[in-house]
Amino acid sequence: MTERRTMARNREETVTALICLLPALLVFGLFNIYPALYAAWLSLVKWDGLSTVQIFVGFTNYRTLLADPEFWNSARVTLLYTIGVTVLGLAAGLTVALVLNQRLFGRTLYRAIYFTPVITASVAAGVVWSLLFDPISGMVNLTLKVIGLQGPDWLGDPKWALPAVTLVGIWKRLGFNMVIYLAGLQAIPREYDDAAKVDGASSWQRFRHITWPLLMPTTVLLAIMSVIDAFQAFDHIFVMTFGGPMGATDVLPLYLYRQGFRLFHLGYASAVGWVIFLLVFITTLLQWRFSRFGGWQRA
Amino acid sequence: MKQRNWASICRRTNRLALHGVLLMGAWVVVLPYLWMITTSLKPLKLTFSPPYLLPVWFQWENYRAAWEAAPFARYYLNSAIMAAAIAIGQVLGGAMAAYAFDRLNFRFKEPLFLLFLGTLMIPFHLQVIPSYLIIQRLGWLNTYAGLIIPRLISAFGVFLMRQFFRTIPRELDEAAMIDGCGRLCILFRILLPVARPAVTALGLFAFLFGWNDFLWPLIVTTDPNMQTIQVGLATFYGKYGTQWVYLMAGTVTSTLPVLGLFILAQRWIIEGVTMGSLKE
Amino acid sequence: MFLRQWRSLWVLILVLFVVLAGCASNTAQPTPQPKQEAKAVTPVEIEFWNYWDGNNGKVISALVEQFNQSHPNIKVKNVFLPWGELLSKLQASIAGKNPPAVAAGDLAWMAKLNRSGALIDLTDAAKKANLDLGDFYPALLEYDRYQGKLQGLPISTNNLALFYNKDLFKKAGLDPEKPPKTWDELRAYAKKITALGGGIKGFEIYTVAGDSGEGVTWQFQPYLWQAGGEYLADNYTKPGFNNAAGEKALKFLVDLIRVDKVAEAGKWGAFDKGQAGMRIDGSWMVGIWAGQTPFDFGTAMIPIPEGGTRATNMGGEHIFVFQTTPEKQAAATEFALWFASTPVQVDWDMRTGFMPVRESVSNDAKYREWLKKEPRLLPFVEQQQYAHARPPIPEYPDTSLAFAKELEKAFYGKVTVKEALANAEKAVTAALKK
Repeated sequence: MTERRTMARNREETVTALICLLPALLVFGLFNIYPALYAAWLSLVKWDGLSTVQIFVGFTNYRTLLADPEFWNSARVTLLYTIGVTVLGLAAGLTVALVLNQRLFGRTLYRAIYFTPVITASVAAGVVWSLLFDPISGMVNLTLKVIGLQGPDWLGDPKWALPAVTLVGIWKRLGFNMVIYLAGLQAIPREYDDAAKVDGASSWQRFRHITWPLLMPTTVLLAIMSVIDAFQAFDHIFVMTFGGPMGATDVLPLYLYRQGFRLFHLGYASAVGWVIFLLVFITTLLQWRFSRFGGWQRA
Repeated sequence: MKQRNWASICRRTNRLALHGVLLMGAWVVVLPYLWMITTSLKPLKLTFSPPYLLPVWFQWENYRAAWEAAPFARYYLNSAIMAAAIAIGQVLGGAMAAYAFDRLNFRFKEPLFLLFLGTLMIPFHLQVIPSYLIIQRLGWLNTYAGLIIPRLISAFGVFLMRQFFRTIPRELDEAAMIDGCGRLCILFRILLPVARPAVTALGLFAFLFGWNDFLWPLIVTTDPNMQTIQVGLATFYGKYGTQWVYLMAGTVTSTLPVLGLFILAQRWIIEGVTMGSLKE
Repeated sequence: MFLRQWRSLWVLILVLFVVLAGCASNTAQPTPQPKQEAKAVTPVEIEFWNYWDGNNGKVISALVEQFNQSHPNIKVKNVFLPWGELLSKLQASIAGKNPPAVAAGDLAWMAKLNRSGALIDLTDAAKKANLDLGDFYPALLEYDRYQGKLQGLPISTNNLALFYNKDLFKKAGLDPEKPPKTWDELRAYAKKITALGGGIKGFEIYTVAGDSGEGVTWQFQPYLWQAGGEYLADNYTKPGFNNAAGEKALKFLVDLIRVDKVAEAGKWGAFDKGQAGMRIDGSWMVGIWAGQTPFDFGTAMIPIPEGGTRATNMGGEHIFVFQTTPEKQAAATEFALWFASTPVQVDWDMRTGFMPVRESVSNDAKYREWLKKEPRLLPFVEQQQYAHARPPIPEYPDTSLAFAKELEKAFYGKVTVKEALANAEKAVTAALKK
C-alpha cells in the first residue's frame, strides 16, 4: 500500500520535473549542446572555415595542441588569471556586501557605484583601462607618483601585464559578487544573529560561525560561476594587450580566437575549445564535489 | 553611563573609518567611469591631448553626434525588448528548472544539472557557425525570436535559483501542501516570493546580459532595424582607429538606463521581504 | 494581498510569452520567394557587407545610395558589420550556403577566400565592361588572382610612411620642415628628441606580437625590403630574411631600443599623446589625427638606409562577389565594377582619404587638386608605387605570427638579433608547412 503510493509519488515527481525542465532542455539542446557537438566534429577535421573541404584528421589537432608550448603558456596564464579573479573577486565582493548590508549613510549610492563596472560593456571598459594604465599620462601612474612611486609600463611590461588585466577582471566582477552576496545575506534569518548577540558572540565569531556557513551555497555559486567566466575572459584582454607582451596575458580564449579567426585553423580552434571546455568542466566538478562534502548540504 | 558614551564614540569613529575605506574603494571603482564621462565631453580637437580627470569642457554636442552616428533610437528599443524578454524568461525558466533540481527526485538529476552547467563552458566563438546554421534553418535571422529565444534560459539562472531554494526550509512547502497547494503552486506562491532577492538579482543580471550582449545580436542580424545598442557602439571602434569621444558618449548613455534600473532593483534585492509571505 | 500581486504578475508574464511565441511562429515561416513575373518591375535586391565605420561608413552609404539611384533595376543594401566580426560572419554564412551577394574585406583574407570556392570569377565581366586591369597597381591585383581567375578587385588601399611631431622637432632644435631622409638621420633626430627628457622618446616602434603578429611583421617588412631583403623568397616557399639584409634591418630597430634607448619595447600609442617624436604608421591616421592631436604633425616617405631602395607596405580592402543566384551575381558584379571605376574611386578616395588603387586616380586632376588641401597625404600617394604586397598565400598569417614572436623577443632584449632571425627562420619554415 505505502509502496504503491511511493511509486505513484515518484512517477508524479518525475513528470513534474520533466515539465519543469522541458523549456531549458529545448533551448540548451538546440543552442548549446548541438553547437558543442558540432564543434566536437570540427575538432577532428582540418578546415579553414571558408573552404567547402573538410579533411578528417582524427585526433591530430589534439596531439598538435598538446605539443604546442604556446598552448601550455596560455593554459598557465588562464589558470593564474582565474585564481586571481575568483579568490580576490570573491573576497572583495563579500567584504563590500557585508559592509553595505548594514544600515549606513549613503549605502544606496555606494551600492550603485560599486555596481557600475558590471554594467559597463567590457570592450569600453578595456579601452578606458588601457588609457588609465598608460605609463606616463595614465591616471594609475600619476596617482602612484603622488605617493612617490614610479609605476611600471603596466601593459607593456611582461611582468605587470597579467596583474593589470586581472585587476580589471576583478573590477568588472566585484559588483556582481556584491549583489549576489547581498541577496544571499537576506536569506539568513535575523533571529540567528540576534540569538548569538545575546550569547555575547563577537562580530567575527558571528561571521565565522553563522554568516559564513549559511552563505556557503552563495559562495559555491559565485566560485563556480567566477571560474567558468574567468576561463572565457576575452573582451577586455583583447582590447588591452592582445595577449601580449610576449604572451604574458595570452589566455586560452585569445589563443582560440587567434587560431580560428586570425590564422584560419577552425578545426584546430575547435579542439582548443573542447580542451577549454574539459578543463572548466573538471574544475567545476571538483568544486562541486568538494563543496558537497564541505557539509553545507541540508540533512 | 560613562561606558555607554565611550561605546558610542567608538562606534562613531568606526563608522568614519568605514566611510573612509568605502570612499577609497569607490574612488578606484569609479575612476574609469569618471574618465569616461570627462572624455565624452571633450571637444574633438582635444581627443589626444593629455588626459584630465574632471570635466572642464562640456561639449554636450558630442552626445547628439554619437546618438546620430547610428539609428540608436531603434537600437535602444530593440535592446530593451530583447533584454526584458530574456530577463522574464530566465527568471521563469530558471525557477522551474531549479524547483525540479532542488525539490524533486528523479533519475539522472546530478548529471543533468552538470550538463546544464556545462552549457556555460563552451567558448562562444565555437558556437558561431552552428548557431547561425540553426537560426537560419528556423528562419529566425533578423527576428526578435532569433534574438531572444536562444537565450531565454541560462544555466546561471537555474543555478542561482537552485542555490536560493536550497536555503528555504522545506517545512514551508509541507505546510502549503497540507493547505492543498500543488507542486507548481508551491513554486509560484511560496518559493518565488520568498526568493524575491534572488529573483530580482537574476532578473537584473539577465536584463543586463541582454543589454550588453554584442556577439549574438551580430550573428543573427544584418538588418539595422533589428540590431542593438552594442552593435551600434561597435561602429565607434573600427579597423582604422577608435572614435574615443563618441565611444565614451555612447557608452555613458547606454549605461545610464541600466544603472537606474539597478538603483530601483537594489531595494528589492536588499531590503527584500524575507519570509514576508509567511504573514499571509 | 501578496499572493494577489504575484498572480497578476504571472498573468502578465504569460501574456508576454504568448505574444512572443506568436512573434516566433510568424517569423518562422519561410520568407516568400520573389515571384517570377514581378522580376521586371521589382529591382534585384542584394546585400553588400563591409566593415567601414565612422566617416568611411557614411561615405559608403552615400555611394551605395548613388548607385541605387543610377541603377533602378538593382537595389544594394549596405550592411555594416564590425571589423572584428565580419570574417566569422562570412564564414558562418558561407557554411550556411547563404552568403551576401557581395562584400568587401581586408586584403589579408583574400588568400583564404580565393580558395573557398565561394567566389565567382570576374574576368569575363571585367573584359565586357572594358575594365583596364593594367591601370590597377599590380602588387594589389596579386591578391585577387588565383589559378588564372580574377576573384576580386582592390577597392581601397593604404600604406605606411613616417609621421613626425613638428612641435617636438622645434623644441629639440630640429627643422620641422625637414623630416629625416635616411636611417642615420632618423637615429640622430630621435636622440635629440629623447634628450628633451620627461619620458619623451624620439621614435616609437611596434613591438608587441599580440593576437596575430601582423602589427610587428607588417611594420618591419619595409625596413627589410629597403635593406634589400625579402620576407619569403623563391615564390613564397622559404624565408628570405635570415641574411645580411635582415640583420641590418632588425639591428637598426633593436639598437634604437636597446643601445640608443630612443624607443621602447612596450605598449603602442605614445606618439598620439605627444610622447614620441616619430613613428611609422598608415595613411588613414592622417584623417584621424588631423585637427585632433594637441600638436602639429607632418608626414614623409619612410627614411631609407644608405644605398637602400624605397619600399613600403600596404593594406586595404578588396571587393568580391559570391556565388548566389545568376541575377544576384550579375547585379553584384555590376556594383563591384562600378565601385572600382575611376570616377567613383576618385570620389571615394577624396571623401575617405584612402590611397588610390589605380594609376588613373593618382593622376586625376581633380584628385591632385584635392591633395593640395591635405598635403600630408602626398608622401603616401608618392610611395604607392614602391609598395610591396605581402605574400598572398594561405600560410601567410601563420608565418607572420611565428616571425613576430621571435622579433618581439629581440625587441625586449631576450635574444640577440642573430638568434632572433635564426629562430624566426625555423619557425617560419615550420609555419609554411602547416
